[in-house]
Amino acid sequence: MFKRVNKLLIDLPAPEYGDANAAAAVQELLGGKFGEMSTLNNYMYQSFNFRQKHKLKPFYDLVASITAEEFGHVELVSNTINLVSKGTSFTAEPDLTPLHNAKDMRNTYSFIATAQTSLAGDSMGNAWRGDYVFSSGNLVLDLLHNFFLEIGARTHKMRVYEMTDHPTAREMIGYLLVRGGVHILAYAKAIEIATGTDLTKMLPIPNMDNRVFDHARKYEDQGVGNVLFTWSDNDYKDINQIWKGTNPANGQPLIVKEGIPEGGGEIPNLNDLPEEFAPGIDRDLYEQIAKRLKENM
Amino acid sequence: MNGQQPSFVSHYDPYVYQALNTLVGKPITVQTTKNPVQGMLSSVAPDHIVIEINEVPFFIRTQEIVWISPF
Repeated sequence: MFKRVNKLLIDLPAPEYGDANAAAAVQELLGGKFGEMSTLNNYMYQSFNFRQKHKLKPFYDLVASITAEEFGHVELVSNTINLVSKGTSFTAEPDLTPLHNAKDMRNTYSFIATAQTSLAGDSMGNAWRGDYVFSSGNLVLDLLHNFFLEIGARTHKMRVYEMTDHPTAREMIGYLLVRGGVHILAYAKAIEIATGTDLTKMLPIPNMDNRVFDHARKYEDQGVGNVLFTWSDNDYKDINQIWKGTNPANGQPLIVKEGIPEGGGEIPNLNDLPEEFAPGIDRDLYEQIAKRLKENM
Repeated sequence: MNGQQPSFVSHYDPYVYQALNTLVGKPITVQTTKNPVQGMLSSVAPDHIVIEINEVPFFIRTQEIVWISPF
């Protein structure tokens, strides 16, 4: 089961300007084939479906614990999209066409379907699909798929970084490039233990260090790329049989930390958008609701 | 020397400038050639205006304004 914490993995900057088309590009990192919804659901189903969990516990613990981290990544990318999706409409009566600028934006679902928030889909508006989940039941094949999936995700993050310089998007991508690098290495090490084959020799793919990216360097300096968390109070500790030795990218020791990362950021509090009727609760109605909420407490 | 001096030309919309001056301190919506901007008009200069959104100033060239509406 899952326990939820009402915090983001990092503090996201929230400037008072947005870029709807940048938000549309960031959608690929959420609901694209290599987006966070895919990493989440791949590891989630693989952990549910894992055979011989006891015998192969370190591998089960790895896939199960990273599932929880991916949930936090879905949350982080969604919130990024929400913060970047501003500055296209204005507040006015419907007859003044306050959403008219939205006609020229790439993701019209953002304006028609989700009130300028995240969509469970990719940068072209295609819905995220369950057939992006690969859960073959063969341990080495699934690990190899995860290694490939994380490398694809890294490539897409690097390209979206090159598409937008919006500070919220770049902060999120900088952090996820580093965390994604951890997952690539974790699956490479798992494959090495399972098969004796050292895939770390081909890394990084693409052949470019995270430190090239301004917004990733800070997280590399903090050692964020050396740590794997258990994401649990008491479980999944056997990941330390896989996550050990040194990081080939920087020579620093690999560390397992029990639990979840410290710090993190506040969940952004989104303003109302009267032109989208969201949340659609005016002052009078709110007063009635507040009265009913406090009744018979 | 041919006696030529460089000169600076600034486009100036006198009636737009005059209209904007009547809206200082008020909430306005400005449609720019890029995005609409909605906030408090804090000051007006001959070639730009300053709109504050949640106390963050945005300096906008008057030449980039399409329309203005108080709200």
